[in-house]
Amino acid sequence: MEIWLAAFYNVFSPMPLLFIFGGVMMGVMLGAIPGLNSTMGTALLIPFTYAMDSTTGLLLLTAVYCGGTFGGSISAILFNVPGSPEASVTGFDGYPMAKAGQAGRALGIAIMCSTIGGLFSVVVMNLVSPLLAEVALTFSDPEYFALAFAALTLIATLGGKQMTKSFLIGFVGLLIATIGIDPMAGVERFTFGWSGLIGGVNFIVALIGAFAVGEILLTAESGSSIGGEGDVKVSTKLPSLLELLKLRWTILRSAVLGTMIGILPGVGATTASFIGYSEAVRWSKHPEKFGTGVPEGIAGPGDRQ
Amino acid sequence: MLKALLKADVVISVIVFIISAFLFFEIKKVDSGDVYGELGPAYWPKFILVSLMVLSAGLAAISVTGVLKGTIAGVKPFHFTVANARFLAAVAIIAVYLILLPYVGFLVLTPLQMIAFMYLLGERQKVWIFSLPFAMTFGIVLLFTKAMYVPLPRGVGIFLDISHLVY
Repeated sequence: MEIWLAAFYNVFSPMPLLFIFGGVMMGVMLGAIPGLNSTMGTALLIPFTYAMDSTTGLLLLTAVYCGGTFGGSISAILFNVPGSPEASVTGFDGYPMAKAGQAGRALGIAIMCSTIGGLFSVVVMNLVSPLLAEVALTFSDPEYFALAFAALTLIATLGGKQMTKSFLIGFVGLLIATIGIDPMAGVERFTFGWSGLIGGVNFIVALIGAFAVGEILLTAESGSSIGGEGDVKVSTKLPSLLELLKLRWTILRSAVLGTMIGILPGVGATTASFIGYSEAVRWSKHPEKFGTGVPEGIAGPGDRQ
Repeated sequence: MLKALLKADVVISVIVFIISAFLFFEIKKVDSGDVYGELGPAYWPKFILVSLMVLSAGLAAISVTGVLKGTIAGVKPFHFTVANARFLAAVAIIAVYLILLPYVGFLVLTPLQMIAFMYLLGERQKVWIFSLPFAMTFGIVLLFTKAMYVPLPRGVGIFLDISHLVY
């Protein structure tokens, strides 16, 4: 109990709160820019934390990381260009909702679910992390393989009626992941002598290629004029209590899944957000509506923090 | 039958199948079997490529059968429209950007690409077209090179010298 009180005292003092605020703002900005992410932000800030006391430094780094994880959702919802890998699923329903003129509502749901998921994981981490860490540390290669294989079966959930196409694209993704040096044998695969491919294809680069370039080509083909879009104003609209209550099971399920997956070493928020979305589809009474801009589609992956 | 064979699904399936077959023979060059371990570096790529070939063949078969049975609509007569031209122009701008980037560099080429895209997407206000791309490029360059220490392509010759003036 004393530890908890000391922690509350440290966090809710004026100066740490200021650092948390600044860290979250910086993280959100970094996360919203495709190509930059929260990990990069925390890495850049580490030298600055040397001059701080340990509590303030940790708070700042955590705030940047959490802000960055959410920040990716902003560009995913507004432009269908995920700022971070874990935000790619948020765009599935966030972008259609934004196109329907409800960008503020989509951002509000993403913020609220991200906050609830984050708080849930903090509480769980404080209560049972030593026990869960013991289980997580027993994970080795076979378990990771099983987890990755289970994650691939999500294609079946997300694919809808076009299962063959979904698996085809899934395998294309796997093929892209094999480009570069094989980590076990050190042999080059599919580089064709080009040094640029030796390191493989970066996940963020692949995401931007898949989402941003696709969106640009679609916009060019449809002939949507960008003239006058400067007049569009988006203001975040937080969901009402009633709306949150409607989403309670999706939020709770994703919070639990996100926390459990987040505890495993090496498995990050991206897997958690995909599984969260997939489970939201699976448990929904109207799975056919996913992808058209439903709140559950934003709440499902939104709890990944 | 032609209406079935010209369906986009069939055409894409054939392309995927051919590329997969080519890559399958390409990966066999590093197929060392069990020299490096039980599976070797070519095992998973081969598994993925065979799966791709099977799936693409399946997708083509489903599409052709569907069109012949009438459950899937056949391909419609193609008329080249302005939308197709805009699409091809966008692809061309991206391709030219990627090809020229190592030689011209990020600083000079990016605003030109942005101007081309803004015009293609319908922006006609000269103030925006000739101010936003330069301001955004400058901002991105400063953010990535000065704050994040991420290297951006500098180009060669005079473009290399220009880039050294900024970063």
